[in-house]
Parts: sequence; C-alpha cells; structure tokens
Amino acid sequence: MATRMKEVDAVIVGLGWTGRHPRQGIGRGRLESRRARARREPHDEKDYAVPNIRDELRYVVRHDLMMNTARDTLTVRNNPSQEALPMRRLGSFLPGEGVGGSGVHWSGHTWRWDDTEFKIRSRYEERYGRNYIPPT
Amino acid sequence: MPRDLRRQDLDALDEKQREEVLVGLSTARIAFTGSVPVRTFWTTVYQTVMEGMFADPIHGGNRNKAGWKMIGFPGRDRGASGERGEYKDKQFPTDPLSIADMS
Repeated sequence: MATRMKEVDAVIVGLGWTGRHPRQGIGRGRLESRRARARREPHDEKDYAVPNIRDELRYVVRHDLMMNTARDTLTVRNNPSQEALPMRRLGSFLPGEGVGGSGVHWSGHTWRWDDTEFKIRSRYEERYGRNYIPPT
Repeated sequence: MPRDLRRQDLDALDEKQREEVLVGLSTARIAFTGSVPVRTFWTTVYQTVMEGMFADPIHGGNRNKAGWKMIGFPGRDRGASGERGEYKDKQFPTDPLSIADMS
C-alpha cells in the first residue's frame, strides 16, 4: 500500500554502496533527504550469522536475498513485436531486496564485526576532523 | 517411449526399465503429448530430487543427513580452505554437521 511521506529535497532509492555516497554529499550541502529501500525489513544479524548463512538452498538456489518474482518482477521481450512477459525465475540478473545492493546481494558481504568496526567513527574523526562525518 | 513401458507406474518397473525411462526423460527422447515440455518437467524433477537428497535437513529432506553421508560431504563450515587440502580424497573423520547441529 502507498505511504505518503513528508516532501523532501532529494530522495535516494537504495542504500547500498552506491546510494550512500550521494547521501553523504547531500548531507554536507544540508539538503533534506530521505532514504528509501526496496521493501523488506533490513537484514538482521540472524540472516548472516553462521550457521544460517550456510543455507545454500535458501540463498543460492531460492535467492532469498533477491527480488520475490512471484510478487514483483520485470517484464521482458526480445523484440518489439513480442508481448512482454513477466520474469518469474531469476537467472544471472539478480535484483536484490532490502538494504544491501552491491555489498550484501552481490559480494556476499557478511556482518562479521571486528574490533575496528566499533572505533571507526573515532578513527575518522581523529584523522579527518570532527566535521568529517555529517550529522545524521 | 518403448511400448511395453507405457501406462505403467515407475515403481512397478524393474531397475533396467526405470533407468531407461529416466534416461529417456533426461535426454528428451520421451515426450508428453499435449502436456508440459519434457525439458521443463525433467529440470523440475531433477532439481527437486537433488534438493531432497542433498539440501540441509532443516528443509525436510536428506533425513539424518543420509545424502551427505552417502557422498562423504562433511557438512556446514567444514569446507574451510585450510582443511580442504588435508582431507582431499579422504574420508572425513566425523559425522556431517547440519545447520540444526550448529544452532
């Protein structure tokens, strides 16, 4: 169902590695922005923890992180005289669902926290100054 | 399809005949009249059997990890590159580990 949101200066759709870059620039310019992700709730730690992440049937065969083509898909035709038909099985083209994009869906980026992750902000501020990370 | 195999249940056939049917389906030498294309049928059957035999038991098949034991698959998290060399072409010393075993 459609959700009406407050009007903003810019909307970024997709929160992967690509989407976060314009967001950072916009944040600096003090434009008001809103981020939108594709449907599904953000993945949580249960999605990625061992042993669940080793579930090949769920992730590799059934494409659990990817678009659910039974509910939402693209239509394809090979030439203009054909009738475009919905793609119901995913092949090499894998549109993702939820937060992630290139990081999660296609690179197999997993949440494996290292000591450094908890010090990232301090490290950036130390090196580039307190204003480097824009306020959220 | 050979005439003597028509209209018979697959499990009523002997092993050689069953094999003939399976090979016939997989090579599209057998076709269905007025029904699903044999490639589509075979792909689905084959995929389903593979999943039932070798997917993690958490999905309901591969009971007691029988499929994994049969082929010597060591299970989840045992394919680490360090171990791979050590156990190459050898029987893995323990029972395979499934997702439920590790949860």
